Amino acid sequence: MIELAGIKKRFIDGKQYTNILENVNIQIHQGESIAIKGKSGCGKSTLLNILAGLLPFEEGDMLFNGTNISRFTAKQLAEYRRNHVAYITQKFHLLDDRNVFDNIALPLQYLRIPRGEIKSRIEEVLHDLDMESHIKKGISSLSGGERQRVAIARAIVKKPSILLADEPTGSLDEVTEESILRIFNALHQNGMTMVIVTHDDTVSSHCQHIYELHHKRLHLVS
Amino acid sequence: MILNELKIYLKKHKLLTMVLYLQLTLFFIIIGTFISFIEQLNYESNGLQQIYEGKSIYQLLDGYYDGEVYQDFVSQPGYLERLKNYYNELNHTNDFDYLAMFNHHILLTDNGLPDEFIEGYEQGNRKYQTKIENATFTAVKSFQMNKQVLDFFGLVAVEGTTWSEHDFKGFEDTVPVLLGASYRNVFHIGDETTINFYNKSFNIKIIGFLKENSKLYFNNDTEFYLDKYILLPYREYDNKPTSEVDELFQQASYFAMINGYIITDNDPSSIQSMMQRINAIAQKSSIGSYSFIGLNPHFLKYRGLMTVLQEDKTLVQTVFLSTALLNLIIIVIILFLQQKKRLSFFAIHYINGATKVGLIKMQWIEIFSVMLAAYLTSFIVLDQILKIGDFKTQFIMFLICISMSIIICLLLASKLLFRPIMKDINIGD
Repeated sequence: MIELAGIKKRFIDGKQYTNILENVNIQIHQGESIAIKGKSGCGKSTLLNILAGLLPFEEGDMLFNGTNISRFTAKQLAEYRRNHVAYITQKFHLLDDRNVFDNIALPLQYLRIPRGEIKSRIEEVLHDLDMESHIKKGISSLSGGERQRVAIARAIVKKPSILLADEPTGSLDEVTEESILRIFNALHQNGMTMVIVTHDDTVSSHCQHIYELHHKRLHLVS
Repeated sequence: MILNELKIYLKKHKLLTMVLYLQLTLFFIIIGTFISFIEQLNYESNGLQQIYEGKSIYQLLDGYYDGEVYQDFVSQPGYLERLKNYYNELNHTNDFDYLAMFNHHILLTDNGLPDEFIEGYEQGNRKYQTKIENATFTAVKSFQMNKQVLDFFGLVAVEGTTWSEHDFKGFEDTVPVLLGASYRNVFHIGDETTINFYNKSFNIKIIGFLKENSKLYFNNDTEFYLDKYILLPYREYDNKPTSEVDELFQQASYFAMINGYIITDNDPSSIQSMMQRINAIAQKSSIGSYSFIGLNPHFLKYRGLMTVLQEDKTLVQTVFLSTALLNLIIIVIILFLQQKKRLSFFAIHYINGATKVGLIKMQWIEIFSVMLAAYLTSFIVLDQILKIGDFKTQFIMFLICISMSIIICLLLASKLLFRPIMKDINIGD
């Protein structure tokens, strides 16, 4: 489904270039769940950003369903993000200028889905996440766990090909973490492809494969 | 999508948007006033410069103002011919410009004429009316001039035509007249009516309306507006008077016509030559008594006005520009801080499928909408309340509005375009 081959990514640090990823290779198949672990600052989120089509890279190829997207234009990349990728960020990053409904509606609006269908899809996803009663609530009135559920709802409402999550339970308490992991398990069982960046062994233990980013390269751990 | 986002943005940032809107409105009003002022100032100084630069001006007066001297002169046979010759020579010489002009009122047939046209209205005079041959006449403002006045001050008609050379000859009974712009609601081109001027009745025909705010420099007034005046040509009468009334009319007319202004180049030889020429004309016409007033009030006023205009211009430019600049800095800072906060918001849109160009467009619309609202408000304030600024001023302001929004948006867009957008949502590795 997605293949990274010989990916190299560097950042400019002052006047010097620093490589953060070197010769990264991975194949992610349809329906797989993968955890990527590693120390802070090792490049996990950078890798996730590359997979999400948010960050260009200097060397290597990235293939999505056989198409090399490293040569995509900005518009094509936007279409890739719009149609195939969902990304849950570490701090949820909900839009606090609108309510739960409008936050979840955002990716569907970019897909130009009719308003009626947007409404039914949001109601369905909120029902699945047990958040129906929060549909008109403002973001500031939600707890951390509720915000994370809204972020998940926004990610999965467009039925993406792949779900990317960056430390999805990093800022949650144990009880909330468990409930979020149950949601991820359910998504995986329904055939969702998932890549999760995490420090947390509990989270990684729920994934089929665990990779570790070490010395700028990706190693399969289990 | 963009409009929906704009609606949400304005709803969320009500207070800041309001502050920005008021600040921008103030900025546009200051800029509009400034542009308008500078334009007016340039217009005034250019107009004055064009007319008077390099010229020397003298007022020419006859010496018959004393009662006894006057009586003695008009009792001489052929005095009218002498006056006519004198004026004719002054008016047609190529050695200098001779401006014959005066603002003697006329009596006009009154069919409900607005008060603003009556003689002495600004001084609080009441409508003076008199009956002539069963018709009611009212004293109204009138200005008489020769052709050179028309040319010298560049007076043009916006409707109809101005006078031709032929109109300055007193061959025909009907007098072609020009009207000031305020008369456009009262008369039409081709309308005819009756006036009484120096006790003689004439039929007049409207041939044109002057441009609004047409003015000349007359009687110590650097801005003598003609909008409310009926303009009569100083006509030359080759024929002898047919009656006593006619003689008195020609006498009064010619005495007014020979008291005018002489414009010559401002160099000693031209001035000397002009004086010699007038002396020769006076001798030839047997006009024994005349005098000059050199450096007449027009010229002094012109010089004074030019100095004031230049000083004003510098002062006003400094005040306006510094106020506008300060205002602009505040606006840019507010916009920068506001939009900088929006970068993480844009990043979320980007993750969900927006393009960078789309985000820049969204940002521009957010900035431009507030600017446009402020521009429109300032337009209403300037145009309807302060009555400042013409189409050109408003167009310049609109260009400033668009340019400002584009420049600010591009400055902010550099952050979106040239650095990883994900930096703005603080993802830790």
